[in-house]
Amino acid sequence: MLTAFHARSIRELSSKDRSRQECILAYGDKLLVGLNNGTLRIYRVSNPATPTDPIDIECLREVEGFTKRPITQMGCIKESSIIVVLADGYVSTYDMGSYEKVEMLAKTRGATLFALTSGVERDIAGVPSVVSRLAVVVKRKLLLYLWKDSEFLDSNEITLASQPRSLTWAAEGKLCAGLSGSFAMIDVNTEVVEDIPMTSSGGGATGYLTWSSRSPLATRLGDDELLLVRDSASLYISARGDPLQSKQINWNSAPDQLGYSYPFIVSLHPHHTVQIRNPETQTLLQTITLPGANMLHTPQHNHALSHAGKQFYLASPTQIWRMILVDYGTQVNELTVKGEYDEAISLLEQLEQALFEEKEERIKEIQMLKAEKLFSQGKFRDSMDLFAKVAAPPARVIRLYPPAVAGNISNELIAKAGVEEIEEEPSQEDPKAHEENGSADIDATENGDDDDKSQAAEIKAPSTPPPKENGNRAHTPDSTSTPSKSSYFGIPARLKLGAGDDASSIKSGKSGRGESEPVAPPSAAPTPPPGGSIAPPPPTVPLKLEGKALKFAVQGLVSYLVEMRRKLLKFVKPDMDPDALGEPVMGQEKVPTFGDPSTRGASSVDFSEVAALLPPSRHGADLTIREQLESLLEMAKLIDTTLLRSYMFTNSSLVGPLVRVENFCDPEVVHEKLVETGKFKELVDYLANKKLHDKALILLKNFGDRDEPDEREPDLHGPQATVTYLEKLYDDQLPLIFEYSSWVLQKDPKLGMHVFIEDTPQAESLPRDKVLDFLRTTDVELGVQYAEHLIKELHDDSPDYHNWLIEGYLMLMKEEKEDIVDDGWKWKLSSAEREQYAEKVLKFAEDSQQYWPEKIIRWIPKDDPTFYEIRAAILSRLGEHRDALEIFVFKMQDFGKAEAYCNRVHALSPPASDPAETTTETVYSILLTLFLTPPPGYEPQIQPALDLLSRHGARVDPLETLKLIPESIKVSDLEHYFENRIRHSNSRVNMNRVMAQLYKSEAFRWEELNFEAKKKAVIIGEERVCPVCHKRLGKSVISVFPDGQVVHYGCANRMAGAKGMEVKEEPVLGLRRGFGTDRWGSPSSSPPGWR
Amino acid sequence: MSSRKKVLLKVIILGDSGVGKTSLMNQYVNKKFSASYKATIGADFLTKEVLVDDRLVTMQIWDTAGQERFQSLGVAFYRGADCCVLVYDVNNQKSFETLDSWRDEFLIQASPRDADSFPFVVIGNKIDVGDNKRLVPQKRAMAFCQSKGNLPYFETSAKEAINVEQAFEVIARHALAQEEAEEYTGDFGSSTIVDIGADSGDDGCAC
Ligand SMILES: Nc1nc2c(ncn2[C@@H]2O[C@H](COP(=O)(O)OP(=O)(O)OP(=O)(O)O)[C@@H](O)[C@H]2O)c(=O)[nH]1
Ligand SMILES: [Mg+2]
Repeated sequence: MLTAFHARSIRELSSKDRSRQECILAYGDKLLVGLNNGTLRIYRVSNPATPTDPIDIECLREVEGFTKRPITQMGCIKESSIIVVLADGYVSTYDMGSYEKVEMLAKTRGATLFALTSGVERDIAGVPSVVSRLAVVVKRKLLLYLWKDSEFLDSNEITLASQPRSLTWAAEGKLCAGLSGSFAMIDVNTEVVEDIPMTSSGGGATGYLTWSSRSPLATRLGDDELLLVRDSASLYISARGDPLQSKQINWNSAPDQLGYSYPFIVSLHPHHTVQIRNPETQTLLQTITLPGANMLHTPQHNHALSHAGKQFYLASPTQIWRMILVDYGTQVNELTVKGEYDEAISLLEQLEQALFEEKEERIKEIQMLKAEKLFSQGKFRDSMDLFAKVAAPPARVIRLYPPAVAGNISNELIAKAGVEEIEEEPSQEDPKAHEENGSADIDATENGDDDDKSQAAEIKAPSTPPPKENGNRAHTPDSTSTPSKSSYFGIPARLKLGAGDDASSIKSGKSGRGESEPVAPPSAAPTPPPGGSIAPPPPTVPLKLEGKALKFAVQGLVSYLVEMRRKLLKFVKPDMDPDALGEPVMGQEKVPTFGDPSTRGASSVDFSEVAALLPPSRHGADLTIREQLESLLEMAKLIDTTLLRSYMFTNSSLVGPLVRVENFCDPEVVHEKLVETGKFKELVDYLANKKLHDKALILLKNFGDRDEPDEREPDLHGPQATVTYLEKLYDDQLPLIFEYSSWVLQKDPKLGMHVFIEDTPQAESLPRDKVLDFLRTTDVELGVQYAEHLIKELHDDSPDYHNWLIEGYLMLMKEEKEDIVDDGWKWKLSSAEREQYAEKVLKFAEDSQQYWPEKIIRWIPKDDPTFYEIRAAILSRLGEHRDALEIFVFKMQDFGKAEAYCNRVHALSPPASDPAETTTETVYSILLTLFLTPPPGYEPQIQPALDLLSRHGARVDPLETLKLIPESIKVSDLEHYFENRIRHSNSRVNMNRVMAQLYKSEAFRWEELNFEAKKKAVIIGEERVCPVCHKRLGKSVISVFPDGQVVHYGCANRMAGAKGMEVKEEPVLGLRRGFGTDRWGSPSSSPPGWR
Repeated sequence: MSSRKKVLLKVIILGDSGVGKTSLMNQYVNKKFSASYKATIGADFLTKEVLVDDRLVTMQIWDTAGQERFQSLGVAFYRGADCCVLVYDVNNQKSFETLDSWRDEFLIQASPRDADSFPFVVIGNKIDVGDNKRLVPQKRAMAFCQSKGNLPYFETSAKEAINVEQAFEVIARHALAQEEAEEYTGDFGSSTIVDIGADSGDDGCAC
């Protein structure tokens, strides 16, 4: 299913040659072959640039009699330039340059097997150093050597349960031995031997295997894993010996030899077949049969570079094959083309980034292909989940759908666009894929069409020429392959450019790619470009999504779109303007930081996520922030617009939510779709969201301000929708509020007023003066309503509103009828209504303290009885009591009201400091004057005057009063007045007397208290001691506490502290024995604050 | 009765940061309240077994982070939700105004089959703080609920445990009704494969 390696025969013994090959060893460009006659042949093997290039092999030397007997096993320690050879039952070391024997390890007599390792180990102090170890099997014993100062020192010996038949170094100091009964992990330092349990393969039996005669096999996989194989059972363990996943390799025949050639498991099986497997998926990737092959030589594990050994050798007694790795790009392509997406992904995931520069992009690409395949199989949800997981470019996903959902990027449209175009594509493909701005979606669109299979073949074509290089060598100057940087970049032109180190040459290679495009096929690139050029179309027949299937497919799409939208929203906002970018100041906090190479590290945003969303920038040059932002915005628009179409298709109840939240929907599509389906409410929401308030309001007016409801959206009929809309606007939209509230105020003023007087932050934000101006010019009554709202609900004290409210009331009252009907009533308002307003004005004029009476008074008609009282109220506010009272007395002739007026004013005026004194000019006097000496033309009102005097006589000056009283009045009529007056005076005198007596007795009480307090005394005898210091009080100054305790004056503070009392801040002066009491206040709850 | 199988109700609590989502859940499930604020990160859930009309159901209550809006939880999180609780703080105007977009975003993320009938319950929390600090009048909140299709509305205090129990009882009831409705219509799960008659490749034309 895959060509991972090419087997290249590099040496075949001629039929005349009687010798047989017994053992091989490869390192660097050397190949050592041990023959059955003890001769060692040393070859140099060239490294082919491509798997198909010729391989030069040159025999450098032939050392006859290198060993007496045929070599059993060879190994080398490159760091120390020695070759280790097991022959004739002994292990010996040879010099790598001269092939001279250095030493024979005498103790190894009878050895059957050895294992070498070089690795970084830490000594007790933790200092790392390269340590080479040798382990030799002699019967059941394990001899251990340590390479030190150019010789092997034997360190220790460990005896095992049985004779090891395979030996593999695992982690540092750990050795895995395949024994006859089991595998064991041996710690060479502690000599602890641990059994590794291995359950039988296949059917759930958990017992130990019964071992056959076949050798147990083991190989290291990368740095920290080992694979153990016994017969057909296999077990992955960690380098420490712990069993890993219970993955089983499904061997079709048990292997004879096992090895690892990064990143594959290689095994040699009976009948000379070699199998190549993926260690992750265990899939058998390739089987090669090489006649007679019985020796598998895979590179020794290299501690520095686990992927060092990518090539390996096979040999038969007469022939040697070198296995040449096909470069990874080609392998991945091959797997991809065959639809083995999981395999391709697994392979990529195991490759190191350094070996496959565009690894991540490539994985993403293949996962998208897989998702496309799932899609074509009808597994929409799985497909879309995968697309979402890898954040596939939306265009690529969306185009899978019919135009109703995908719009004009739908494949169906493109397919219709003509076959000729498609036929041209393969040839155009490569240059396009490299175009500076070519995005994956474009590539995909070109080749991924769901057309017939013949096209698939065509598309494969450009990628089939195997790339000449596997792009890893430059990064891995390992000795198994000749480092050949020159050939790495393929084209001479590049060589000139790339003089420096790997990094710079890669860069120059990349930047040069653009220019050399027409000449340079993609094979020249370090790794084949990902994306389009290899992408085969998903194996589909023309897929026509219809009916229920389409519905399911769209539901899947929705979840993908929503997921993508969520990811995108982290970086873009609908109101973002790419033009405003560049100056970071403008920044929408996060956005300007992403992708900017200079801030990439410090960025708080996970840049990798942005990168994952964007089409890969595979041309070296990073996109500028602006470009990134633009493409993100573009993407967001596509996503949201498609989401809208999808909702229309499957779940139109979600259209509303979508257009109401932050969205990037294409306004034209929204408009078209919503109008088409009659979703005008949603359209209004959309416009509102986009702050296109005027459009929304026009729409609402069109639907609302008409006689009959529009049957497309009957709910929008009437003013309610407009009011609801206007209620949401703040003061920044004031002109619109005015403009569109007009029709509502006309149609339904009460409803319309909600816009201005509702208890919402929006309504409250509106400037009151402007609103009042607007409303009162619209309709005085509305102005009045608004002013009332301001004053009564919002307690606004601005005189302007108070003045205007009165003015408004008056305007309403003064409004005359247009045509006077015969009943002679000239006012627009009915008399009852006018009465009502008059009452309002009166009440307001009396209650409000904010209006300007001097201004208002001018508007009040003098001779309209409706306004009499109002006028009086305002005159009163001006302090013009005489004028006010004149109205009551002469115009209205309502003496009761006149008196009530006086009472009101009297109650409001501040009481005189001496209640006995009456000011000369009280309101009562004014009224009395008006009663008794009216202006010419009016009769004096004697009776009301007398009534007034009898009730309020005390409040007018008696002398003044008497002067006013006309002589014609009988004294008897004044009896009441005098009686009242005298009684009043007497009561004052009596009252004052009582008060005087009360004060006196109070004073006496206080004296008494004072005396009581001073009466207290204490007796200080000879023996009496201070309870604080326990010394005698003697004749010193003392302090006496209220409870009778006596202490030294000096000790008083401490005592007070103990009692929680506060010391009054009184000078000590004058303090004498026996009179300390006054210093103490009562215990207070607050901590004593004295010093 | 086949519906007697064990029912798991997934309830998601949304709302601005600091409105008391975590506190409500804690009060309801653990009968505890803490005055200190620790912002929720991502999402967290507690379960509680409740009786709804003599039926024992398990409520899985998901508390989300108000700070991150919908950015960290993927579509998968919202799939299969049976009821969404929208919480605001009656003393915080902004938290009330955002309710609408919480609701809309939820609908988009969860993609319920019928958005108009999906159960939401609105909670105005922190009513214990005092009337003089209150910024969202009950009337306005009720008008909002009314306009969104008569959503049940509760005023609660997670601190004083006022109305919390009652609110969740209604939440459970609505969630159960939703769950049963979904069951009836049948959810299409991730494993659904629709045979659309497309040729899956290998077994094509054998001629
Ligand atoms: N007075 C009062 N405080 C409350 C009430 N509920 C929550 N709080 C307090 O409000 C703060 C925030 O509460 P949380 O429950 O953590 O808020 P949240 O909604 O989970 O916030 P995020 O996790 O950031 O989304 C905490 O200090 C709580 O103690 C309540 O009913 N009354
Ligand atoms: Mg929380």
